[in-house]
Amino acid sequence: MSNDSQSKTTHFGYRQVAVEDKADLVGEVFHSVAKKYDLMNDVMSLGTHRIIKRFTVELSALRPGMKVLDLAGGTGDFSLLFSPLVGSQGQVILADINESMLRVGRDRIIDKGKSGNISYTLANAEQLPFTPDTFDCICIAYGLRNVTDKQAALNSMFEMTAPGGRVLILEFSKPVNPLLGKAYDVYSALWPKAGQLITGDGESYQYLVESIRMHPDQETLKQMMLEAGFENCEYHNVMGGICAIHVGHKTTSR
Amino acid sequence: MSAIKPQADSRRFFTVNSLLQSTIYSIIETGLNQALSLDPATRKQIAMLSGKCMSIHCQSPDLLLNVLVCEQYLSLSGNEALQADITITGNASALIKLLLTRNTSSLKHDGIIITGDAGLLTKFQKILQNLDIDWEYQLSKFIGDIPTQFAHDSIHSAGQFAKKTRQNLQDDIDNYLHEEARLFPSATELNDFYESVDALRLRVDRLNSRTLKLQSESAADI
Repeated sequence: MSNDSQSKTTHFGYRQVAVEDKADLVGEVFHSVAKKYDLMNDVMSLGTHRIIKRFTVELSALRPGMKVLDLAGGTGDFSLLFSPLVGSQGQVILADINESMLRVGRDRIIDKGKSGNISYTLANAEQLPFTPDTFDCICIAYGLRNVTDKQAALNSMFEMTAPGGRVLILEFSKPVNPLLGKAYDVYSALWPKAGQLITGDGESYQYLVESIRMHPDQETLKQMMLEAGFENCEYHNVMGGICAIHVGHKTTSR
Repeated sequence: MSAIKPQADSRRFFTVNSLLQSTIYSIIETGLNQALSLDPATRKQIAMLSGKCMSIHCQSPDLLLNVLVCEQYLSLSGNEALQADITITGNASALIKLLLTRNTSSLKHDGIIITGDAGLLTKFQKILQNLDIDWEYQLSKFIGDIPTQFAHDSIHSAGQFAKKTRQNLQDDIDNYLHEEARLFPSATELNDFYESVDALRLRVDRLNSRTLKLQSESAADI
């Protein structure tokens, strides 16, 4: 499966929609779930998403003074974890395409009193509005799936990564064990119902489940990263491949 | 752009273990930083090491722990990609010993290998040992000043009692062994003994010099 930017339509869950409509449709989904987003994550992942996030942050190899982009950072979980690592000399930029999610994230960070080195940007991952070769680390967690043109997003991320920097992509992926895959299918079928109960919006979670199925598997995503210019790409399967963390490095600019 | 061959990476499928390790590190990190937040002096000392990374590599069991100083925050991780300023390699028991003792002279015997800035290790050790947590102030925030004072007094008097009891016990055992069971000689007896040994040594010395003198005189007569 690859991106469909050439054709006039792209997938939105299992549906085919016009390319220019996808961003708005995804936007609606997140507008609707923004407030209860973290609670739903706990429900869907049985609380394990916290550990997975922590593990991803460990892979970032950040040090004080570095610059990090928390792309599609939404409710700011990652920014809060990055912030103490880069310290007052470093910078964390929380970017999201969705205003509601960014607002929730910003409020949360300010409420925790951690706003010192965190800035906020409303940005589209496909066309990042930064100076090239800026970030020591770009992290996109559970975000790439929702981007219309994934290859364009990877290319843009490559451009913004500083030489010597790295990109981390945490995303739902394909379970390695078929038996686990089946169990996961059954479990994830419950999410729209849980979503209906908690957020009052089952459709958004129906989209979530479908979009996970449509997302490229581990090897495909790795190839896309190599295509974008990243080197030494590797991935770590988490929970038997339900999620995967891809790590790519940029040694020189193209 | 160059396509890079896929790496043969044994860590590719590491899952449960690294998540577990990550969880444990996360818990230790929280505890450590909470302890630090109660000790402003140590926090300032730590901030002077900001940006430094100490990597502890335990060989049995195989574990990697990076301690990265981020201003006044200590971050723990198990990522090999983080470049360390000092790497300490050894087995678990030796590493724990190293952490708890001030003595760094026995490192060689314990099979600990240190590469990088060894001065950093001494600084880390010093900071860890001087960690002086102001728990009274923290406690008083939760239960108020008077109960905290009461708790402090109780703990203090319990401590005094323990100290006194230990001292008494030590004295009693000492008395029993020396005076009652007579397993060991008492201090005065020992002193007497040492004195008589000294006196004997002096007399032997005198005798020796007298013999030498007599010998040299008789040699002169002949």
